[in-house]
Amino acid sequence: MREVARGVGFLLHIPAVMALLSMPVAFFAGEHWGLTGLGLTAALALVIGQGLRLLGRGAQTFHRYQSMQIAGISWLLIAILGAIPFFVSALLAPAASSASAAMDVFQAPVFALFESTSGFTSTGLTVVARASELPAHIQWWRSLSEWIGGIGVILLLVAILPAERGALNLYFSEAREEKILPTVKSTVRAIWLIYLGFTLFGIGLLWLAGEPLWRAVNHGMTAIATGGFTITDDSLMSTSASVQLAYMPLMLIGAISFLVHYRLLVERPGWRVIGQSTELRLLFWIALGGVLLLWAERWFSIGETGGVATAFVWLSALTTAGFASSDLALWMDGPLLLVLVAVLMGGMAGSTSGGVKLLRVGLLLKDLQGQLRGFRASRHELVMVHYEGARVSPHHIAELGRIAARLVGLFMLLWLLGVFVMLHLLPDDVRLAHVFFDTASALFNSGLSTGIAGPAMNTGAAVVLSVLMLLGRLEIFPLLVLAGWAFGRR
Amino acid sequence: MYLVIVGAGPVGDHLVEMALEAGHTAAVIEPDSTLAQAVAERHDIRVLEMAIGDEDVVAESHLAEADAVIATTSDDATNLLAMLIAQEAGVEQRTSTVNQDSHLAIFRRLGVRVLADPERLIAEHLLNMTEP
Repeated sequence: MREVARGVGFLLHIPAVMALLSMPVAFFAGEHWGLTGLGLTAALALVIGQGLRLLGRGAQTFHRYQSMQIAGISWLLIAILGAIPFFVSALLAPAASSASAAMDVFQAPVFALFESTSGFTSTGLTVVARASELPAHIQWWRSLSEWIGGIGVILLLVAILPAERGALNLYFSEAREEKILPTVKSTVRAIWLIYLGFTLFGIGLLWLAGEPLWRAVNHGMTAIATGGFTITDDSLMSTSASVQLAYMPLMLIGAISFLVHYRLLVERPGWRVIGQSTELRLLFWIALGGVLLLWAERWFSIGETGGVATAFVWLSALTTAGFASSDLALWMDGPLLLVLVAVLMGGMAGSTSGGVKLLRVGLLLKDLQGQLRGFRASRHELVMVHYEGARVSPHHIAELGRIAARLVGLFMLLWLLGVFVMLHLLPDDVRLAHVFFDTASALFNSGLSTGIAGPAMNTGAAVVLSVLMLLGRLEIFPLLVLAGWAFGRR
Repeated sequence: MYLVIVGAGPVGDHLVEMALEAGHTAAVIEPDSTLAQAVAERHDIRVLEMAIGDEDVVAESHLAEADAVIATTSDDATNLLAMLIAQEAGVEQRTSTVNQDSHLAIFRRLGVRVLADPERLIAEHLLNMTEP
């Protein structure tokens, strides 16, 4: 137990530092009343964090289930601590100002918690109706939470690798694994730097494309984190097509595994080696093919393709960024279902995006290919499939595929369960397709919305969606481990 | 050309590599699962994990369509059986390594092109290279 306390205590310093770094924003924006909430978060996080570290004195090195517990508890606590600025600033906002009207919704703690969870899971669903009127420090706090949540997920994979580690051959072949684990620290530092670098690049790019500086800063952070919070009222719907184009590479960078970025920038093995990654190829083809498919689908259903805005929706869904370039509530069910497929898949494992990850999609497809080849082969023929540039026995792929299928299946069950619960919390006249879509959007950390997960939802729906966001972000198992431990069977 | 190669030992493995480089298609027959797996992982080629004496060999290797059969094992009995089966299937070109000199005549009588005693050949070659 000591190990868990120590780990969680250490991680709680993150929101403390975040809040301290956000206080200058409130100060320079002239929102002195905003300092209270941020200060409270910093103080509470520090006190609890230090307290837990004291409890965790003399901790041994921890096992994987303990790291899972740490991840689960920390994400939960950080989301709760992160909700404080929303709640406190809503109470303290100067009466009858536009800021106080925009903040009104956060006077209900549940909605503050929802917004914070959405931020730290870099989902991007929001209960704010007019984000442009939020006080600057709250806009910043939302963006920062997504940005930190984004890097958090990457490090979650690097430090507490999931069960599919074997599938990450490209990065962790047998020899490399031994080499990389003792140097986790330096890898983590390098990934931090890469993340920071890409963020600065993104902010610059958006600024050059014509976004005002403050918007470029906020949106640059949430784009690389594939989060999706915006400081505009209608996400990117009224943004011009050329500026929307500037967002696309940023979202894609965020959806590419940072281990690939790491290899490209630090080890430079050349494009040919990187290009052998099955997952990366899958991302490329799905991004390209999906855009064409969605254009065709819209052209057949409404007579126009929707141009850049439609392409943007596809990429926004696939990378699970969740910026909206088009009002999905007005879309017909057909194209909406296509977008849903992208939301389910998500980006690469080890990136900031959500979904079941293309790593698993790729493994399941390869497994299927291996099985089909097996059917066609003669009795004694040895069947092989190509994976990560090597010829691999289908048995090996099947083993990895089984692990992937288990998680994908669990995700789907949870989704159905979520939809079932949500149906009881929503008005009767709501479209079933929309319930499916927005529930998936929460569980797969997308952030695209048809309007159900928004300012109009009730308290119950906000709680359910918050839980789904957390479950999806941690890929379910850490929270299952936690639940199992809470019920006393480790 | 379509080649059927019997044996995925060191000789067979190299043969596969060279045949593929020369633009031929090939199938390999190898009963040992480790060797069969290894050759399948290295080369884009059809590998049959079975003994040459297996009943289905002719059908599974499409022997009737083969332009040549090459036996590369270190066991003359296996090579001989491969040659006989190839002859039955009507394969024109039959080539084999022969490991014991005393078996050479048998192979020749069957109309097989032979490479006698590969190890001796290597030794001779080495000697040739050393002498000025």
